[in-house]
Amino acid sequence: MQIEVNHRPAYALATVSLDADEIVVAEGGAMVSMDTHVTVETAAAKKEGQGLMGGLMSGLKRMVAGESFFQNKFKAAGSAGSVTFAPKHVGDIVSYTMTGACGLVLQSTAYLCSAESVDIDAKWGGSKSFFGGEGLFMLKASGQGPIVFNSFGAIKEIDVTGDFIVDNGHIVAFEDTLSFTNTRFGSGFMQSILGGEGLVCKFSGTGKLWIQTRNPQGFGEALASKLPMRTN
Amino acid sequence: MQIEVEARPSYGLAVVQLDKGDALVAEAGAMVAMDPGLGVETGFMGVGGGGLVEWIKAALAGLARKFLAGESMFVNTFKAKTADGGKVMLAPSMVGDIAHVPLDNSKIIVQAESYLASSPKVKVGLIWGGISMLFSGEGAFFLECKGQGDLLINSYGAIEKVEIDGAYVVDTGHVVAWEGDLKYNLKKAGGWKSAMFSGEGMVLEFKGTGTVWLQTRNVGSFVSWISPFFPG
Repeated sequence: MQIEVNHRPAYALATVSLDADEIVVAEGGAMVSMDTHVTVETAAAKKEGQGLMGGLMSGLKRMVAGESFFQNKFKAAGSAGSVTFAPKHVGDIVSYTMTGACGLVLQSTAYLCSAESVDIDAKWGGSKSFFGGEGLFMLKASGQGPIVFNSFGAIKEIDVTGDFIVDNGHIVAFEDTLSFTNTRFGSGFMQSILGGEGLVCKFSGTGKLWIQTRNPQGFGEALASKLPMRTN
Repeated sequence: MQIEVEARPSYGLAVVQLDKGDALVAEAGAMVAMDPGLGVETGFMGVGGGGLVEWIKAALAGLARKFLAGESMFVNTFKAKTADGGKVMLAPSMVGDIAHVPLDNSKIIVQAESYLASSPKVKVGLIWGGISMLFSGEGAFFLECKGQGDLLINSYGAIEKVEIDGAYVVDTGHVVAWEGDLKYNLKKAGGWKSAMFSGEGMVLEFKGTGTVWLQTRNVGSFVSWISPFFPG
């Protein structure tokens, strides 16, 4: 599987080239175009060894996480082929290869597509610590192979060594070698209430972190204030 | 202090490296990420430990910024206190560009929503654009930034820098900032007939020698273009 990302950062498009009979799993609604011999199978996301109920349950969990209930499996049947994917909103895409050395934690709406050998877990326990304020839900990817994620705004990769603070609304993904604590911005009452930053996340350790240069909530508030009043 | 702007022009991100003793004042809510070693203070702009009278003056200016210019009332000051210094990343809420404008004992007038951050030695005050600006559709107040240091301004769309020698006309919705020595005058684009039917509305006519920064898109026009496409 080869992945190429073009038109960064405003209108990024991921082109996934598959070998014969290779499969790429993608978020529902993400497909832009594909070769005619690529077959599509829609299934509630499920893990190896789960029955129908298990699949439905993990699908429901993904829905709670803000992702679609169903994932699509694209298979290059018989011969090599390619599929292109894009997120719903304007913004950037990054492709990352999981080596098995560590897991990847993703902000739930950042997931775009991945190899079948990558497992996406929507009920990752660490997610709870991200609730509150920003309404963030995190997914945990593990296994080996490529995974592709998207952002609102441009994606900036940061190599964290030591401590680093990120506004919760700007987190895209991070390697799970980093530990994190959610905290209030600044040290006092003034900063947390009036500083306009809400919750921030403090990362510690060594690992890669990806942030997005825009915050969907901030953008929504800025644009909403300009929209005309609804008449109905 | 070193300032770099990345991801231009769609999703500009200002990456500011503060050396020991450096400080940067930023619009509340603009912080994307930062080194935890930086100190943060939240308050009204321009309070420099000058006692109660200074505080009251700054508070009134903060209120005026909020209610007259649509800006936030508070600013955050980021300070590097340790020998290592630290980094802070800033972005506006809207999609668009960021420009770094160094001030050398000079003065720049900024459309209120375009202010992102400045050095503590840059004084930022509210100025009244004149009674005619009430009819501009863009707000009647501007921010006057003067002194020595750095200024970061943001836009909707890309920022285009235009050197003026003589006279030049810019649509009010596309003005970001201009050098303080330029004279400006609000006008109709053409006669009353074209003001009503040309779709151009009001313009600012600049006279003199200096720089004008304009934005390649206009939020008001975008909103009126997109609104008919909203369902319901």
